[in-house]
Amino acid sequence: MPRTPRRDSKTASQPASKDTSTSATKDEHEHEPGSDLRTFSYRGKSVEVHAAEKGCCVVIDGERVDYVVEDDGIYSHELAYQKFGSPEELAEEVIRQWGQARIDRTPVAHGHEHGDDHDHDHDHDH
Amino acid sequence: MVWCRKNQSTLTSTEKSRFVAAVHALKANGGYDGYVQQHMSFMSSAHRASAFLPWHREFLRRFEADLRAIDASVTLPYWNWTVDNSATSSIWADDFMGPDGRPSDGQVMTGPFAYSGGAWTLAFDGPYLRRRMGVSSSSPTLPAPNDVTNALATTPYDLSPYNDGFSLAGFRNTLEGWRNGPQLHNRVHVWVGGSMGPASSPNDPVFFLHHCFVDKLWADWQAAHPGEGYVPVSGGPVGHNLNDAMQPWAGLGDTVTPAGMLDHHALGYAYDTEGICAPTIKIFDDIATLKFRDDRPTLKFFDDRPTLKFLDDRGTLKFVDDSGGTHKAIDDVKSPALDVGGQVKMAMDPTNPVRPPEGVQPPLSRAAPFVLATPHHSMAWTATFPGSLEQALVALEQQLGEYESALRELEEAHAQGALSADDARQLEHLRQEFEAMLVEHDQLARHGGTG
Repeated sequence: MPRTPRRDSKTASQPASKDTSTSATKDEHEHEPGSDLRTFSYRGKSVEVHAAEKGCCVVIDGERVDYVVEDDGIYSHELAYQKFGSPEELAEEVIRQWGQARIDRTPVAHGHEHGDDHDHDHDHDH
Repeated sequence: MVWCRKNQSTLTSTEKSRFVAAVHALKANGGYDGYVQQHMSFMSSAHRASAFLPWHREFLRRFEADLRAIDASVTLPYWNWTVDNSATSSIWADDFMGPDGRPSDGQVMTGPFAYSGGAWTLAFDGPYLRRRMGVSSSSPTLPAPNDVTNALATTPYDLSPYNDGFSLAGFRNTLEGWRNGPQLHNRVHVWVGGSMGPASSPNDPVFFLHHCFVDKLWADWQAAHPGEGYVPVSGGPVGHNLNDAMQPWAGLGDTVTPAGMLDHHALGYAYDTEGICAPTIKIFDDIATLKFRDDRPTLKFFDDRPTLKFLDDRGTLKFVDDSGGTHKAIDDVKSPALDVGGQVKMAMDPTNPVRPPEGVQPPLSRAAPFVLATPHHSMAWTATFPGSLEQALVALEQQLGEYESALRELEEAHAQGALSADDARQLEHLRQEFEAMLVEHDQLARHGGTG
């Protein structure tokens, strides 16, 4: 089962972006009281961060990017070779990688990959 | 016989174009996208645990087999990203992998895998190939040589709990790049960026060159640590123990285990640094020249063999006969008094067995220069003349034996100071011919093995 995010809500809403580009702009985050949804914009794209327990995803201009929270970071098949400190960091890196690209992100049915004793959370994403 | 996986930086232009053509053909018949889908669907079976290396060894083996079914001359090249480590390295030229993506959306605009070329439309996460070299702040550079050196010195193969722990310091986790990551394997994916970032990363053909180098590093590590076996033998995640069947192949009725992946030579290939590959020869270039139209009727080494002057002369090499005391050729000459026992005399032209004046050394052989069926000739005639390849090999091996024997005798004479300067030059010429024949023999033998 997905685990509780390592960072608390306050930390997660203020990810430590490593991007130093002058074009990198990020609006203040909004955290609706009583809601697990946080929103912000980055490089002109709107980002919704849904809590792990509510579906494990960020939504970038309507495009859903799933993630899972593990002991040592956030993991996503969208950027499958690195881990992130928070969903916000993941969203920002996805936006940098996508740029203005329009990507046909075709869902793929995942095969049965492991037995029951494989304790990887990412078995359950998507 | 194993085939050779080469450093991509050493490929000829023809080898590159043949590799690209085979990849295009696999894409056109749907096979390529099957690999992309397989990697996406079984991402977790293949990563972040012990079977990362054997899983990808099998994945690449199957991919390479598919390419070789299209063109038997093709093998997987590897990309040593510690050396060819920038966006301007030759691997990114338009005749091979193509360049970085454009700034706005990362789309690769030129080269064989540009969307605009019509041959490379992505079936997943498309439609076009994207690259973002060095954009990610976590991987602004490719791994350094020292990173590889440190990884190769790391033991054991893996450590419990055999996952992707940030500080898990076994070889597999270090090479995969989760330890203090992204490093090594992971870092290369992140550095290339774009289509190399998601689970659909085989969309970028450089994926296979990258993983070929990762596989080579595993092979290097195995050679450096022969006492270190694969772990876990048991007790690890299902699919990652030594004798577990790995997915997706188990689901396809094909039992592939990590244990079956440990000996890459048994899988049919070696790396060019291992010293067991056949000598590099330019057979790939030669086939493309299609010279056989001109060469086929002559089959030069068949025609030449009976008239090889050197071979004819060898039996009458004077210094051999004289040292043995037979003086046969000398006796035939009309001036036997010139024969001096024990004096080394050089071969004479059998067409004019008149002894030259005293003090004048005749050339070793006055035969017309031996013309080999030169290495640049195509081997395509072997398809037209079934069995001719084997015959050619037998004939050539016989010639090589004769040359070798004669050269040995001449070199002994040379070592004794018995050859004149001209004779020494002739000897060197014969050495070169012998070397050329060796090359041709290797070409023929290799063609027989790969054809």
